[in-house]
Amino acid sequence: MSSVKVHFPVLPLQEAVSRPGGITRENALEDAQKNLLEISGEADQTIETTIQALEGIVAKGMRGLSPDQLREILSHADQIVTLAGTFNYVALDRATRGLCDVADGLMQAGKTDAAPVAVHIRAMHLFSPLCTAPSPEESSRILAELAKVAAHYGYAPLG
Amino acid sequence: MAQPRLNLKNVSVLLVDRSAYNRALISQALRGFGIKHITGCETGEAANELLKQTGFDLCLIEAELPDMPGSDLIRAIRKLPREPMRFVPIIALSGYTQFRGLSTVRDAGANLVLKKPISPQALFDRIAWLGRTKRAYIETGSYIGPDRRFHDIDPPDGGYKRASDKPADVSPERPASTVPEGTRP
Repeated sequence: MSSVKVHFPVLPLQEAVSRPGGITRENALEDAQKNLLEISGEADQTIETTIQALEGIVAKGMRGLSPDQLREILSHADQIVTLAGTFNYVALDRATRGLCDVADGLMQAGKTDAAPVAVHIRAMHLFSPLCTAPSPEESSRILAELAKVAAHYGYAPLG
Repeated sequence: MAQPRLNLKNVSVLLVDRSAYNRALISQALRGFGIKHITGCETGEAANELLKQTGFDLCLIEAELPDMPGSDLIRAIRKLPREPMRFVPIIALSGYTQFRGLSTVRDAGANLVLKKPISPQALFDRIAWLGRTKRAYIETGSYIGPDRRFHDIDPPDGGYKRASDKPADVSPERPASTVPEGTRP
């Protein structure tokens, strides 16, 4: 029978947090939000650069995307999901999640279609914070069209 | 009533994430919480090197690192010979496309898993939870990490994360004793 040990460690984190002083939840969140806003300009630029990198991958793979290219697309798209979610770019977030769902679905199914990937990236460019934002109606229409692409392939959302 | 305070000034954090920008985002949030000692690195290899030289009070580790799965790094930390570093609280960070690795990082000994995009609220609440909740650690041949069995432990500061967690939601037809274990925090 394998042995099981149970430890009750005294952790420095637990000792530290209970020391006098410190910050309330409200103040901590307010300060964190302020700090994040300081770098939102850089985030916008990073989103734009990452979308351009995605466009470059698709341009090379218009005849068919290899699993490595799809993996690279997922890695870039994951970064945009994080940034769009952090800075509340709702339409960009939805379009990019759609791209992740399609790219992952293609990879799992062993397919190489570039068109559904390209159309998502084109939409993401329209929603990029450095571009002129489409009107709410236009955004809804674009997202509805992307949903049709996802429905056609029938890949389940990742999260 | 005065709000409870959390003193994170002297807490040292190791942040391992492949993206420099994600590291910057998380570091900004951590600085807002009053954390001054943040060490960031990109790979599991770099993190292993840092862990040889120094200790940390909290680790944030991405589920998929460029050179190894995050679970490998977590397992390596849990096997370190020195205490309390081997029991350091670990929050695993998962991207939208990395969900398949979540059970692996949990089974490697992560204390909590947090999905990106990480909101300051979620991050602060997890750190508060780890700082205020004492948990036993289990060591077996195949697992070293926090005891994952929870009893009736409420979240820090009396906050509830889901409507279903509130005691008020327990209807007379469904007495408290029958609330499924999984719905507790």
